Amino acid sequence: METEDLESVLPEVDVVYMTRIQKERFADPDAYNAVKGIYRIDASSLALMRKYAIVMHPLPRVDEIAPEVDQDPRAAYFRQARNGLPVRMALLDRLRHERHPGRLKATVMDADQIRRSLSRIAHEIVERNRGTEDVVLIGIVAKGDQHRRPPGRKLMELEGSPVAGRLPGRQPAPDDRHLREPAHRSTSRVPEIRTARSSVLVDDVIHHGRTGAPRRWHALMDCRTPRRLAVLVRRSRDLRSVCRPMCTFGPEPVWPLRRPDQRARSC
Amino acid sequence: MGTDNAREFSSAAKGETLEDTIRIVGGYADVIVIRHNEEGAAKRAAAVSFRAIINAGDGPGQHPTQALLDIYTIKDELNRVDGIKVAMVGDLANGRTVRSLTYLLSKFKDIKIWFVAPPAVAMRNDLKAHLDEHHIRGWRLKTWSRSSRKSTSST
Repeated sequence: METEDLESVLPEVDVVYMTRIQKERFADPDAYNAVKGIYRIDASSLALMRKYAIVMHPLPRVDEIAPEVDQDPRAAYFRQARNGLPVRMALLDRLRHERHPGRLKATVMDADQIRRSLSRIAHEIVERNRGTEDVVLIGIVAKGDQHRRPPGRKLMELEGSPVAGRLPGRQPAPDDRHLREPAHRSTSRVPEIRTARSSVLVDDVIHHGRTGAPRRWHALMDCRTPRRLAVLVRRSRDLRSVCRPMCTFGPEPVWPLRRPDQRARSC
Repeated sequence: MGTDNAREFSSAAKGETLEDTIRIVGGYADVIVIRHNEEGAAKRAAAVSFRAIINAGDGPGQHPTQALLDIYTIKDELNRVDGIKVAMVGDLANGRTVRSLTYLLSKFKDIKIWFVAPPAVAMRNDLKAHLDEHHIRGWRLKTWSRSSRKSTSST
């Protein structure tokens, strides 16, 4: 569809992708002045939009998105800009491996093994909790939040209903401070955390060499004491010792994500 | 390697062609990331390069890495890409990010796209033809009331 009427489209869409009218691409200043500033997202446009839609923008913006929009949870453009780094890292990494496959040190798990591990974890969560109604998956900022998504998707496939949850925590780890999320992305967005009886914390210890789980545990206790707490970490053999302290606060056995060739060994 | 202003302070200012520059830079680098003010520059570079070329924006042409992170963001925020409805708003004739994102979205299922733009900077026909080929639904199936019906393109 092509249209000039932004307002009629806003209630329909999941993504509003705004762009800057690019002054430098106009040879004629009159032509630029004729079209500049005709579309603007502000509080009244947000009111027309769907509750779970998002506003995106490649940035820089000029005046097509009012600053008041930044506070709305649907304003995704700064999170979008932040995604530029990992995506471009992945692209460069892929090119590097294509050119020099020998430089890859070791493959801990291939795609198929990861799929099977995820499936096993998801089944275990479903079995232990007799479904996923009471379960909440909590990603520990920042990497844990990414790692909670694959098991979350798998659980959704198994049970047909989404298993949600994230908890940025009150005190970000020292090197996570720059990633501190705006308030609207905190627990208020996942009320299930307060009512869930079983919580699974997901973290990545490979990149950080330690888990932020203990400090998040206290944040979790502020919400409600869960019946059961499990910690799901991506781990390698070398980082075994890093995982150990987590046993001290888990009332139930933890479920480590083990390498398939590793014998069962509790954290 | 870099220069703050390639138009003034590089071998391009001396008249070296893009192709020659790429050949020289390729001797030093594993990957060449090129952002250029002319459409099609990255394609010309890729034609002569023995190194990987990443197009980081070629004038009003394409901006593929932005489109990749846009798709990543959509997936991250909405937890899906198939079946979404998207409004592209603003300068669609010169907006290279929109052009690349539209192209990439056409690889997914059941995408609906609305192009919201004044006629002077409406989406160019090459991409619209591509969308028709890929049967992107919604794009031109529905009619709007009043103002939009007038502006709906007949191409």
